[in-house]
Formats: sequence, structure tokens, C-alpha cells
Amino acid sequence: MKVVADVLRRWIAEPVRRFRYADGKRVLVHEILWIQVFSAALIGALAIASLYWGGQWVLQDNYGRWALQWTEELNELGSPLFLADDDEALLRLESFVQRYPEIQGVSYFGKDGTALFSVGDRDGMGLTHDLGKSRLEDAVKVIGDKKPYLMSSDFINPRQFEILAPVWTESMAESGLFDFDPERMDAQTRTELLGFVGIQLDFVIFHDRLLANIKGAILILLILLMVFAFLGRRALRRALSSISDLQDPIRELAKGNLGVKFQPAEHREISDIVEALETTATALGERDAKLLEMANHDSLTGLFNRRRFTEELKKEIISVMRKGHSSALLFVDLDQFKYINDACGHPAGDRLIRKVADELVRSVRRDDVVARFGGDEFAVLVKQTDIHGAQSSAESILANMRRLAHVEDEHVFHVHCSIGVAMLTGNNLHFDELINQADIACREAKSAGRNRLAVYEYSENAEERDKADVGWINRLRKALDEDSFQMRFQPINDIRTGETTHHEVLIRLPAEDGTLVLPDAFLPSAMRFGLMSEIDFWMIEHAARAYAEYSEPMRRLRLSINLSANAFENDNLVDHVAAAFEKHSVMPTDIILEITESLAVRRPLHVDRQIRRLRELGCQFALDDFGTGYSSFGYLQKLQFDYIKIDGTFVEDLMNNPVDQKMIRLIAEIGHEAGMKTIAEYVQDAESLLLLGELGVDMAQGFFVGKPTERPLQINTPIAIQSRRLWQTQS
Amino acid sequence: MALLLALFALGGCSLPSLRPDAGPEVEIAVEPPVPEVSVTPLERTPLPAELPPVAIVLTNSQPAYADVAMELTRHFTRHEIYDLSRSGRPPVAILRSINDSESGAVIAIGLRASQSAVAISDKPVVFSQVFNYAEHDLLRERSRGVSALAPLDAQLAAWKRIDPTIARVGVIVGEGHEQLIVDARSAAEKHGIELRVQITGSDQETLYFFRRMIRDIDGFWLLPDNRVLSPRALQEMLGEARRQQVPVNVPSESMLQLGAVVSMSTVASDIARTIADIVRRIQSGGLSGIPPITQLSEIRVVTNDTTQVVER
Repeated sequence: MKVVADVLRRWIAEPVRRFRYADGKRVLVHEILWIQVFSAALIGALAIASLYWGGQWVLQDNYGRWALQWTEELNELGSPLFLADDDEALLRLESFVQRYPEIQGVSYFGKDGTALFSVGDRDGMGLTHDLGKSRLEDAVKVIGDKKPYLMSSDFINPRQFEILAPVWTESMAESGLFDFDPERMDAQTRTELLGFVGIQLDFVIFHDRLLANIKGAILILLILLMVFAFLGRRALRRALSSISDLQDPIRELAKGNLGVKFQPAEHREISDIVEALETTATALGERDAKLLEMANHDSLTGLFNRRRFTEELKKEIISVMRKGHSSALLFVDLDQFKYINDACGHPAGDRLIRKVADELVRSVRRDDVVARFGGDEFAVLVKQTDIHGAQSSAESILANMRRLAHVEDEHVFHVHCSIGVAMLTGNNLHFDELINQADIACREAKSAGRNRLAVYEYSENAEERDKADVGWINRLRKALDEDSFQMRFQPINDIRTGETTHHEVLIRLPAEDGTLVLPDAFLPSAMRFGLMSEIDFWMIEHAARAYAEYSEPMRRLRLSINLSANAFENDNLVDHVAAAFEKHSVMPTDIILEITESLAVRRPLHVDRQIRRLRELGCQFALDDFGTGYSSFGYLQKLQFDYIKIDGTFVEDLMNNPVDQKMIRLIAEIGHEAGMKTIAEYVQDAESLLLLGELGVDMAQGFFVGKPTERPLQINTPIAIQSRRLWQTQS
Repeated sequence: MALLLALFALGGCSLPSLRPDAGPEVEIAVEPPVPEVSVTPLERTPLPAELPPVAIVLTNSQPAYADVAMELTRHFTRHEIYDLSRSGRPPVAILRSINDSESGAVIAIGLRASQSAVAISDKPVVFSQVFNYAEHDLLRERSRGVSALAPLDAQLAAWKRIDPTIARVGVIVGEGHEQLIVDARSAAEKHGIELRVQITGSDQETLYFFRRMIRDIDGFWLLPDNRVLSPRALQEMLGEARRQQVPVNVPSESMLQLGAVVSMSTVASDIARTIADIVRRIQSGGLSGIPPITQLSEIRVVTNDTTQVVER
């Protein structure tokens, strides 16, 4: 078996495998051809096998017919040998046997199966031995049958047969011939067994002829298969050439050449493939365009995004290097965007951002590039301009922004922005540094009071300052961890009495040079990086501690603490406040919690719940920076506050702006009507203080009233006698 | 089949030659028989006017036997008929009862009846319709027989008239018919016919010898020897004869269906009359003087209309 398996593997399996593979890969043409040739060979083999077995069957059938005829003849020829001493009969028998070469020999047996004699006996095949009992019985049974003989053949050698037939006589009944009836002849017959005749047949001639024919058929089949394989291979290659033609276009497509052209195919199936490939190329092109759009543009505004803007900036840097001109990078940050986002939700914020983007595009030249960096940050590349042109562009943007009024939910919002300017000049051409410089300048503008521009000015220590600026987060983290924040206490005085009613607790971040950094510089970063809540809790803890420290000498100390929206996101706020108050024996009624107008207006349910619990604790609430974001006074009626702190923007130009005066009067009147006291921020001088008093404001805060100090001090306001009289008269 | 019935009263007939062929069916026109055959009449002795009562025993009631019995009743006013195939009694009992009866003779028709009568009856027995009487030892002291064949001479005469060219006739018969062969040769010689006789022992042998002789004869005379004939042999012989265009004369009219050209059979009334003559002679003078086998005098000739007649 192993040898056979080796031979099959070596001579069939291995050549077939080599035929099907080329360069280690399966070849479609060869596989199809192999299947077809194999199928044809299989069918041919079956046909030849059928031919062989069919031929054998036909031959055997003919053998049977001849055998019947010969048996009858031999029966007839042999009978005289049994009955009469007829030498001529023997000669006739021998002649008969000689006449048919297929007859190898004839043997005669007696009734009891005894071998009597043989005739012919070519090749010694004659039956020279007596017949067995079972064969005798079987042979007797066929007497009178239509096939009165037994024929046996060798399965391995089907050309050879052996026939055994009984030899018998028949006679008619005595009375049969006197009243002969042809219809009843057989019934009138009587038989008498004489013996048996055995015939050995070998149809070698016919068998050899059949085999020769089959060999010829096999040869023809093999030739046809070879011709078929040759022609089939050519036909298949021709039919599949359309697929091969797709190879180069597909390779081009894989390289990203989406404009590749596919040759039209003749065959329907391949034409479908070509069509599918063209559709794929088109879809890939559309997808690439979409991805490119997404990669380069801001999805909300359609402006370039930071990545694309950086590329444009790099191009401009190269242009500046080559041509020697200068350009400017403006970093634009919206000032009060957070309020709108918090108050009206992100959809409203998104609408505002789109409007700002449109305004920015309208504010610059066509060749200038406007991009959105994310959130409320934008950048503008003003090409081929000097510092004056850059400032002019920035001023133009500021002016347009001031005029921009955004209406949301029946409320009108005025959006201001701060702009930082960095110049692209011959010695300042690194895009990262340029963006950083513009960002720093923008923060400086914010620090300076927002709604303005600042130009980054390069100095020797600018690099160090930038590094320090970039490290805000580390510094805040470090201040929290090392408890290095400092508190300042700014008095808030009653305008009428000039006495300090309470102090607002302010936070300061110590700088390395010993100066204190104002919260406007670091709180945005803290807010962006999620440190606001920790800072709020720091404030609560340390304010409580200060209350415990400073309340004894002053008998009564009331502190106002700023809390951001982040503090209210923490569900433990009330518990934390209560614990701190209890720890430091703080009277909650001496604590005023300041929250921004946006948080007050848009306070979610859980914030409202926390405010209510804090009020139940005894705390009072002040609405900070009122008037900056919301022009609706309707909220004042809805909100439960004890104080309204009027934003400093209304106060700083109060003496020259009658609108601000009317606004403040209005706020004061409405606040009074709602049972709230009003506090004016940013009071810088006595005139403003007097005017605020005349406008009905209850309290004032500002440098004129008292600067922030390390500890809470009772600083009475120096009030003019005329004013005092006026208050007294009014009262 | 067109039936030609000719009765030759010890005479012959002149008929066209018959040769079988595979051609279309042809109607045969046969002229009325012309008695040319001269046959020597039986020696007549004075016979009693009234016949004795007889017992007629039939092997069975097949027409060949029953017709004879029927004809006998016309001759014997007093008779008893026994059919061995229908009687509930065994043949021995029947024959013994006959012995006890007043029957003067027993007429046995067929082999079985003849065997029983010859063996048991103590009265004179006349048997008929038995061909191989010698083989069965039917000729005894008290028994005589009637030939089972139509008169040989008449047959050959009629055949010669039908086919005047016939010169060599083959005959195959089993053993025990030496006298018949002698008589046949004599009759043939009389009509200028060479009779080629072959004695065989079986149907195979008959067939074997028939095929050997068929090419050398002008006609084959089939004798009703059941021992050497079989249905297959009959069919083969008649088929071969047809192929070789050799006419075959058969002893039974029904054999014409197998392809024989002419049948020449006995006549029942002739058999009955012959038996009656024998019984009468027995009554008048005993068995002595009566030949063992009495030849018949009449013949019935029928030709096959499906066989083309060819003049030779």
C-alpha cells in the first residue's frame, strides 16, 4: 500500500499540484482546466467502462444464444452416440467441434454423470472427470426448459464459459398420433434422459477484439483530452484576459490613484466587476474628499481647523522667509461665551459660534485665513501686513464683535472678545511659538479687562514667562497640594454709612517672584483642567478658618465667598460646607455665597437643591457680575438672592455714560422691589460712589472703598458731608 | 384449410404434385379421384347374417376411438360399450365382467383397451388403432388386429397421383415393424418408388437421420410411431422438409397445421366394417384363418392449402 501511495503521489498528485500552482500561488486557468480535463477523463473512463461492460454483456448474451444453438446441435449430434453404434456420428461431432474455434472441447457423460468421452479438448480444458451430484441434479432440472443448459463463466476471465446440458429423448403418447392435437403436443410428450454433454467455450477472438476496440477508444480519448486541454487552456486564457487586464488599474487604485480608468470588458461577469471597481473608486474619492474636509475643517463652522491652519501658517512662514515681508497671527477668544453655553445650552452656544465665525470671515480680507481652534478660540492669519495693519485688523474684529448681538430665547447677548497678536517677522518664524505667543497675548488682553487686543512683545525674559505660563496647571496643582494659595479680603461698604458690612474673600496664586497672580489669569485654566472644584473647596475651608481666626476681635465678621458652577456639580458641597462651618464654628448667617449670573439663571435641579439646602443652613446668596450676560430683569424676581452685585463694566465709565447710570438705577430699583440689596463693583473714586448712592445702590466695592488685604479690615469709606446730608435727608 | 376429401375405394386418384414452398397461399384444385389403383380384394367366406353381441372397450373417448366405436354400433345391434377413461372401475374389473357377459367377442380400441382385453379377456379380442402392437405383444391366440394405417398401397398410389415425379420416399420407424417395412417396400416398388427406410430408437435419432436423408428423397412418409417422435422432432422435421421443399405425408389430418403437405389417414367406417368382418368370421369359423393384422381398404386424403403446389 505504501508503495502504491508513493507512486500515486509521485506520478499523479505531485504533477497535478505543480500544474495548479505557479510561483507558489494557485493558477485559476490551470485549476479550471484541471477540473474540466478531470471531469472529461472521468466521463470518458466511465464511458469506456460502460463500453467494456456493455460489450461484455452483449457478448455474453450472444454467447448464450450460440451456446443454446450449439447445445441443441451437440445434443442432436451426441444422441446417436448414446443410442446407436454410429462411428459416423463421432466423425460428425469432431467435424462440428473443429468448425467452431470457440469450442475448446466437448465431453459426454452418462446418466449417472460418468465421463464417457471427450472431443476436441483444446488446451486440455475438457471435462475428464465425472460430474458431481449437485451438478447432475441442477442439469436434470433444466430438461424441457427454454434454455436447457447450465452456463458458468469465470469472473476474472469472462471470455471462458462452460456449458453443461442434459441429453434426452422425447416421445409422444401412443394415442397422440391417432388424434394429434398441435395445441397439446407438449402435454403428450414423455422424456427420457440419456446423459449429459459438457461444452468448454473460449471467446478469445471476440474478447480480444473488444479489448482492442476499447484500447483504441482509450487512445482516442487521450488524444481528445490532450487536444481539449490545449485548446481549453488557450480559450480560458483568452476568456480570463479581461481579469488580467484589471491587474494594473487595481494596482493603481491601491496606490491611491482614484482617477484610474478601467478598460470595458466584453464578458458580462467581468463587466460587472469593472463597474463595481469604478463605483468603488468613485466612492473612495468621495470618502477621501470627505475625510479631507473633516481633516482640514471645523465641522461646526466650516472654517479651517487647527491642523489646516497650522499648514497655512507654515506656508506663510515660508513666504515670509522668501519675500521678506511680515504677517500677523491673531488669537481670538470670546469673553462671555461660557455664560451663553451654560445658560442656554450647547446648541445655543453652537449657533453663537457659527455667527462669530461668519463675523470673523467678514472682518478680514479674502486672502486672510480664519480658523477655529476649538471651543470659543479662533485664529486669524493676516497675510502681508505689519504691526499696524495687524492692529487695525484686530480693532476691526473687536468693533464688529461689539456690534454683534445674538438673540437667544428672546434674550439679546453681546459677545465681546479678546485678541492676542503675534507678528510673523524674520526672527520669529516658528509656528508653535507664534501660536503660543498669540495665545499669551490674548490672555494678557483678558487680564487687562477683556474686550481688547494685546500685542505680543518679545523681550529677553519672554521665554521664561511663556514657560511659566504654559505651566499654569502644574503651578495650580502644586498650589493645591502645598496649600500655597493665598486669600485676600476686600471690604464691601454700605454707601450710606460708609461702614464695612462684609468682605469678599479673594484668591491669589503666589508667583515665584513673590508677586500674586490674579484669578483671571489662572481660573480659566483651572476651569478647563477641572481644578475649579478643588479650588472652591479650598476657598470654603480657608474662609471658614479665616472666619474663626478673625471674627473674635471684630466681634462680627461676615464673609462673601465665590463659588463656581463646578462646586455645585459636587453632591458633597453642602456636607462639606456644613462640616467646615462646624469645624471652625462659623455662623452660616455670616456667610454670603456668590454665584455667577449664568449659574443662577440656568441652575439645574440638583444645583437648585444644593442652593436650597445651603439657604436652609443659614447662608445668604449674592448674584455676582449681574448685567454682563443677561439683560432680562425678569430673572431677579424669580431668583432668591440677598444681594445683587452689579458688574464693574457698568461702573467703570459711570460718570460719562448715562445708559450705565440708568441701568444701575433700574437694577437698584428692581432689586429693592425684590427685597435684595445691590452692590456696585469696580468703584474707583468718590464721584462714582456718590453717584451710585444717588442711583439707589446700597453697597460698594472697589479700590476706592478698599483694596484687598491679607486680613479683613474695617475700613470706613470717607464720604463727603454733602453726600452724607443727602443720605440723611433721604432717609 | 381447404379440405379435399377423397375416398378411394380400392382405387387411386390423379392429383397434381405437391411441393411445399415459402410462397403465398394457393388454392388447390383437385380433380375427382380416378380409381386407378387396383387392390386385391379380401378373400370372402360365407358369413352369418346376424352378428353376436360384442363388448366394445375404448381406451378413452377421443374422436379417433369414439368414431370407430360409433361406426361399430351400426354393425352390432347387440353391444356394450366401455370407456376405460370414464368408468369408475379398473380395467380388470370391466374385462372380468365382460367375461361373465354373453358377449361373443371383445373389440378393443386403443392401446390401453387392447392391452387390458388381450391380457384379461377369455373371449376373442379384436383390437384396432394400435400401431406398435408387436412391442406390446398384442397378437395372441385369441386376438387379432386391424391395421392402424391406411392401406399402404393406396397411400402410395394416391401420393403418386398427386405427385407423379416422386421417386424416393424416406421412412423412419422404430423397431418391431419388419413386416410393415416389407409391405411398404413391396407397395413402393409396385408404384416405381424407392423406399428408404431408417430404423431409429429415439426422436433425437429420428431427427438426426431425417436431416441426413432429407436431401436424398423426394418425399417423406411419416409413420405414427410415437416412440421415435416428439413434438420438437415433428416441428423440426416438418420445418426442415419445408425448407428443403420435400413434401411430407402424415397419418393425421391435424398434422397439416405443422406444415405437412398431405395427410393420408384411416376411415372410421372402414375400420368398423373391417372389425365387423373379422368378428363375423370368428363367429363362423373361429380365429384360425384370420390374419394377425387385417389391412384396411379405404383411405382419407387431405392436402394442405397453405402449401404451394409445385409441378415437378
